[in-house]
Amino acid sequence: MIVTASNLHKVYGNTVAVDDLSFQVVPGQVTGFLGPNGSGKSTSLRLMLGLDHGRGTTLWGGKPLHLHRHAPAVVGAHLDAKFFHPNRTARAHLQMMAAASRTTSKRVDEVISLMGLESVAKKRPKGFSLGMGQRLGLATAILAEPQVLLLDEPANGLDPQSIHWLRDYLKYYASQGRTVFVSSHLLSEMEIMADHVVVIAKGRLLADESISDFVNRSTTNDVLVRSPHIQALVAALAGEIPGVQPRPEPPDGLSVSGLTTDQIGDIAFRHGVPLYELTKRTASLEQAFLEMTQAGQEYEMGRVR
Amino acid sequence: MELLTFEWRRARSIRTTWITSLFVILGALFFAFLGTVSVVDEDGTALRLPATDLIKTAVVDNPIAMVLIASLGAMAFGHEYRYGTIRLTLTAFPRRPAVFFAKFAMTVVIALVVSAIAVVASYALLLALGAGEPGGLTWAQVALQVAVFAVTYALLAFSLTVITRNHPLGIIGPLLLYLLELTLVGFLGERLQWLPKALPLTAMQTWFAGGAGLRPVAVWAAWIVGLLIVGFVLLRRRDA
Ligand SMILES: Nc1ncnc2c1ncn2[C@@H]1O[C@H](COP(=O)(O)OP(=O)(O)OP(=O)(O)O)[C@@H](O)[C@H]1O
Ligand SMILES: [Mg+2]
Repeated sequence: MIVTASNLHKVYGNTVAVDDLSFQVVPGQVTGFLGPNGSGKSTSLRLMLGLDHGRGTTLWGGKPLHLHRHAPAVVGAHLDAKFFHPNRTARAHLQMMAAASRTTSKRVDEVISLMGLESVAKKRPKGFSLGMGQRLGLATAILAEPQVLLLDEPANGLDPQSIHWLRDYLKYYASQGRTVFVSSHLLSEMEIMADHVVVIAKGRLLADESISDFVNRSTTNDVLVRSPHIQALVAALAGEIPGVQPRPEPPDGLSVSGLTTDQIGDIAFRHGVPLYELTKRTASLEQAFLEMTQAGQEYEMGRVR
Repeated sequence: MELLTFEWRRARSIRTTWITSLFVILGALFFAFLGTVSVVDEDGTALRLPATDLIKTAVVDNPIAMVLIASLGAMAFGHEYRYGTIRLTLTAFPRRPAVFFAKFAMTVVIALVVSAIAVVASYALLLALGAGEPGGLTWAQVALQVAVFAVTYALLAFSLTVITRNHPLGIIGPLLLYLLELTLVGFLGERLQWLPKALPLTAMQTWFAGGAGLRPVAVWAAWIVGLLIVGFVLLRRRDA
C-alpha cells in the first residue's frame, strides 16, 4: 500500500513544527524517516494518522484513513514506549487491541513469543523497562499484520540483539510487499536497514531519495590520492580541471572531490606523476546526514573545542 | 461492533473498574445498614426512615457514592488521556464520533448495571433486617430515580473528563461543582431567585428529593447534554 502525505503542516503557538511537507512511502522496502531532534518527525507521524489536526492530507492506498472500513488492517503504529495502562497486563493489553483489529487470541500468543514477551505477558507494565515497553508497543503495531507499519524510534532502549532482530524483522516485513516507515536516530542501523530515506529539518523536506543517492550527494565523498610528488599532482589537476580544489592530507595524501578515480589516474599518467594510492571514499549515512542537516538543526549542541 | 468489544475489554481488563463497582455496592449495603440502626431523633428514640429514602441515600446520594460513581464515568476517557492510550484507540478507530458514542454507551451500561445491583442488594438487606415500609414512592420509582441519578452523574464525570482531559478532575469535578453551587446559592440565592433552579446539581437534588415536578430534571438533563456536546466537539477538534 502506497502512503502519500501531501502538504502536511502543523503550527504550535508560534513554532512551525511541520512545514508543508510532502512525500510518499512505497511498499516493498523500508523507508527511514530522519531528522534532528525537534525537526517534526513525531508530529508528522501524528498528522499522518489524523491524531493531530493540521493542514494537509495523507492517503493510504488512495483513501484517507478514516474512510477505510477497518483501519487496523491498514496501519499499525508504534509512537511511544509508554502508551499502555500501568495496571493492564501486557497480554490483556494485546487482547484489547486484538478486539479492535478482529485478531485472534492465537495471534496474540504468536506476537507475544515473537517479541520475546512470554516472561512478562502476565505482568503489569508498571515496572517495565524502556526496552520491554518498546517490545509491547511493537507487538501492538504488528498485531493485525497491517499493510503499513509506522514506527517512531522503535530501536530506542533496545539491546543490541533486539536491534539486530528488529532490523531483520522490518526488512522481512517489507519484503512481503508491505510498507515500513520508521524514524530513528541510529544512523548506522538505518544505513543497513533502509532502502530509502525521507529527511527533514525544521519541519521541511530535505531529501526523499534512495540511501545511495542521498549519500552520494555528500561532499565528503572524495578520492584519496597518495603520491611522492604532491605539488606536481596539484598543479596537473588545476591545469586540466579549473576550479578543482584538492585538500592536502599529510603526510603525502590529497583529498579530491568532484572527480572520479579514473579521471585522476588519467591526469596523473599524462603528467608523469607517480601514484601510490587511489581510493574512492564514500560518506557514511551519518556524515551525509550531518552535513545536510547542519543548516536545519534547531537545537545545536555546543561544539566541542 | 469491534469498538464495543474493544471498550468492554478495555474496561474489564483493569482492576479499578471492578473494585470501584464493588465499592459502590458494598457502600450501598453499608449505608443501608447504618440507616436501619443509627437514625435517631432529638430525644434519642430510633427513627424509622422510609426504606425507599434510605436506599436513595445509600446507593447514590452520599459523597462517597458520588465519588465512586463519578470514577466509573471518568474512566472512559480518564485512563486514555492519562496514559496516552487514546492515541492507540484513535489510530485503530479514526472515526472519533464512533469512539465517543461507544464510550458513552459503555459508561451508561456500567453505571446502570452497578446501580441496579446496588439497589437490589440494599433492598434485599433492608427486607432481611425487616426495616421499614416504603415511603411515598413505589420501589420501581426509587429504582428508576437511582438509575437516572447514577447514569447522569457518571455522564457528568464522563463529560468533564473528556473536556479537561484530566482524570482526577473528572472524578472530583462533579462534587466540586456541587460545592461551588452551594456556595453560589448561599451568597446569591436571596437576590437571584432563579439561580437554584438553573444550577445543575441543585436542580437535580430538588428533583431527587421529590420536589417541583419534572422541571428540575429537565434543567439537569439540559446541563448534561450541553456538557456532552462540548466534550464531543472538543474530542473531534482537538489533537489526540
Ligand atoms: N504538543 C506540542 N505542543 C507544542 N509544541 C510541540 C508539541 N509537540 C511538538 N512540539 C514542537 O514541535 C517541534 C517538532 O517536534 P517533534 O516531536 O515532532 O520532533 P521530532 O522530530 O520527533 O524530535 P525527536 O527526534 O526529538 O523525537 C518541536 O519544536 C517541538 O517543540
Ligand atoms: Mg520524536
